[in-house]
Amino acid sequence: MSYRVFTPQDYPLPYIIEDVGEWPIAKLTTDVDAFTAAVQKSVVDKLMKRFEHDHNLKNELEKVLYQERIRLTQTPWKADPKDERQFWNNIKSRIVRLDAAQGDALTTEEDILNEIVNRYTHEIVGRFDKGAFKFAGNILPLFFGRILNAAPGKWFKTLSANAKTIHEKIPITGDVEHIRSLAKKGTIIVVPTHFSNMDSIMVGWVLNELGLPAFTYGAGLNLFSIKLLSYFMSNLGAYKVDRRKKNGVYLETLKTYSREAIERGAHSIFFPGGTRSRSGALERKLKLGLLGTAVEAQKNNFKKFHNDTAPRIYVVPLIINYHFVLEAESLINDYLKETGKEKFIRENDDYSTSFGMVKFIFKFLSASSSLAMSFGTPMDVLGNHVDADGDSYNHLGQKISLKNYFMNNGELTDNQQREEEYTKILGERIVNQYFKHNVVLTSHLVCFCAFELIRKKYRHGDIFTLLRTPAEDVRIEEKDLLAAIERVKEQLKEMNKNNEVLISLELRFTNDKVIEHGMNNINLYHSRSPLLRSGDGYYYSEDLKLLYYYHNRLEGYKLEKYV
Amino acid sequence: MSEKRTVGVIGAGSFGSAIANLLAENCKVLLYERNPAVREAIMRDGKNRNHIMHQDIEVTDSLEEVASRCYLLFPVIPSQYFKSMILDFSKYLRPDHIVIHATKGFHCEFDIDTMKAQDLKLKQIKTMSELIREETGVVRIGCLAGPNLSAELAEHQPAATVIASRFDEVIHEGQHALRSDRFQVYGNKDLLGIELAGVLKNYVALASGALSGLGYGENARALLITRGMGEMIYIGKALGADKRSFLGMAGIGDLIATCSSPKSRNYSVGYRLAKGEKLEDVLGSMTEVAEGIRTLKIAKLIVDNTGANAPLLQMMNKVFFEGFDFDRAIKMLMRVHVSSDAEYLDL
Repeated sequence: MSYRVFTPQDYPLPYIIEDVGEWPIAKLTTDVDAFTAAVQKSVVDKLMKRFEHDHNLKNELEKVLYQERIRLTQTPWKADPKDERQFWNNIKSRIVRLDAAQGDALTTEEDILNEIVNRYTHEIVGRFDKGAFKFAGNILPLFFGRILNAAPGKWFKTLSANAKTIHEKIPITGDVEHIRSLAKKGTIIVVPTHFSNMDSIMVGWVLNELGLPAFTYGAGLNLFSIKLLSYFMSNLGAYKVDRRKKNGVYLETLKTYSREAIERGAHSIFFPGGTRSRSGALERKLKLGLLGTAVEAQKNNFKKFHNDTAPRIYVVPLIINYHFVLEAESLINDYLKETGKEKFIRENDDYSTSFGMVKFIFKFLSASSSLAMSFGTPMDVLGNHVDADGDSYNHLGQKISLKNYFMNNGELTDNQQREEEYTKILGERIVNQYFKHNVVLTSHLVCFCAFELIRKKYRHGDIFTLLRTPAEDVRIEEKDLLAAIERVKEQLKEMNKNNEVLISLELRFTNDKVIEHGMNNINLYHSRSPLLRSGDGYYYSEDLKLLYYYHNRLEGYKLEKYV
Repeated sequence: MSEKRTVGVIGAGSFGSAIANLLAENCKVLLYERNPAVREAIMRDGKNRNHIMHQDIEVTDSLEEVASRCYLLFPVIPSQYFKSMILDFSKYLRPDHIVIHATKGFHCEFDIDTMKAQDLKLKQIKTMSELIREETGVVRIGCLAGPNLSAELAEHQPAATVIASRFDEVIHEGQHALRSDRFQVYGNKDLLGIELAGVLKNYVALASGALSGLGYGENARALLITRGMGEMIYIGKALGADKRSFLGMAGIGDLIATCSSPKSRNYSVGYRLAKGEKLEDVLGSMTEVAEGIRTLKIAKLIVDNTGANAPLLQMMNKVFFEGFDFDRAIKMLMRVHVSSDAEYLDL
């Protein structure tokens, strides 16, 4: 099966649904009351059922209250609504009254639960505004194009005399036509890798270029305190996720919101890694909570439609490859600090004002040499391949009925544990695709080889000892680096032939050009360069941690032995 | 009450027949057997070997029929025929099938007699559930293992087993179909651990038979069983299994049964070898396969590859395939440096 290949000139592609008002996400906003009511009812029903047997609902409510009161005092944000304290005080007194009024049906546990879920649902809900969308559509390309072309990166001058268009700078690979045709038949869940705060902007941009209707996704509540960002996000379908709230009722509401949106056909974006990759390596352990809502939504679709015409949900991995990541320094520091120590990484704000954010984006786009956006092959919610008609084929190429996965003894059944296992399977498939469709850039290759050479040369002690070594004491010879690059490059080409990884065009340069290209790109932004060449033909690093970070991008391919 | 459902059993060997009879107490059973003589004997006499077959068991020679009439399937065939069966079966299997196998052996993608440990990739050695996963579209897979000597099951003696699966649903379905007043069914989520327990116990059973053949008594056997279990844990951990799986019904439970019973095939192979018979003669005279011999070779490859601690296994390979003397082997094993008791629980 072959799909149409688009050239940079073809973008942006026409929208698959011309009338923006007909987009699933627009319809969701039109029916927002029915939608939020459905979410609320579903959460309450589910929790009532869960606590039906052990009569622990009151216990659960008290736990929620306790956690919320701690949040109010310990981590207040300026985006928080003013009446929060009042709301939770009210909940508290009602829970207390629950004890006093036993047998009296004035206030029930279910009432209180309903009230909390109602508040959470309305806090989470996003909307989509046609006007804001058109406004963004007019403004943003100008904005992007302007900075991209106004400030070409250093290497452009050396390698190419011509300024490049955004589409030449950011090649889009993958079966785009396949994804477009599936988006007409069912609901798309895009699952991107997560390395940078730029990701959500880049993902939004690329999906729009593909001519797909707007996607919904969960954005950190803290981002909504930035006015400019908040305006766009709140009106373009983003819903709010408060990472401080880890109580069961909130998480259930969030998941139900996502599931209900998918069932109503809203194309969605999940970052299955949960948070930006701290180490710089491709995500191998995924957060399965949100992903599970796709599996559950698919089963519910089969339940609602009694035959095989039930709307399908398609999962599409997206791998974003940057030569450099703006936040690399703070990320790798987090990683080294947290390795084996703390479970949770605090969400640090790399930008917290509109100005800060614009500066961040500007830095990114103007310094950005090139990056690659690589779509994986679309799958069903079990990770099976799907063809252009949306039919599923298992790993043996046998055509299968997706519905069968949810059947037992000839009947469609609910089984949460089964769906959790299916979600794990889906997660494994996504990770496989991350590795397979990852585009190896020159900077990844150069950093990988350089760091592995250093690791081999200075092999006393653990990684922490090595990273603490004064940078000026660490250097490698040019001939070693050239030889290592040659070997790893050949292996990558071999793996590329076997469909195990993608490689960028520049990797076909001669080895010294590969080093030059990689180094130029990686050194564009960081004040202390991860890799430099000294006058006497040695390579050294001004920041070993950064070199380590970029090296990690090729971790997991078993390339170490080729260095 | 609705009509009894039909479940499928693949393979009418001794254990397959026992499983079919247990299932027939709760369900209708469709039993696949490729040997026409066996099918005929069951249909004509209602008997197979020493099993009197339940009247609700129907025999067939069509895998397609089994797949189309049954959602719950129990393949019970020797490991070396498993792959060809599953390849034949694959085109009929769907994601709504649940497959619980009861085969206690490994599948290898290579010649076990010529493979060298350093060239081995662990992925090349597969458990039956891995084989099912790879060669079919079934995902809800489980295995059944435990102290289940066919002869005793045929006599309707009380017994218990374990069904292991990542899916609670598979465990429940298996329990529902198999449980009876004479048969208890435990559940376990560590599929790999239970499969390994079922496979690895084979070589310990060989050793137990050999001990009896040499005329040794119960102290020696208790030593063997206890340390044998320890060794199984070391190998299991090296492959990623949970040690607790080896402490349950399919681990220590099965070990006690197979190591104590002359009815066990592996036990009798060990016994006859210790009595001085030649390996070829012993194997040539058996009607069913003793998995233990294959297990010995494959487990040695795993141990040499991973460096797992398994002195008993190493010594048995010497005795069985390198002409090492039994008495000398036991002396050497008794000289192995030992640390503290039950140290494998700290793994």
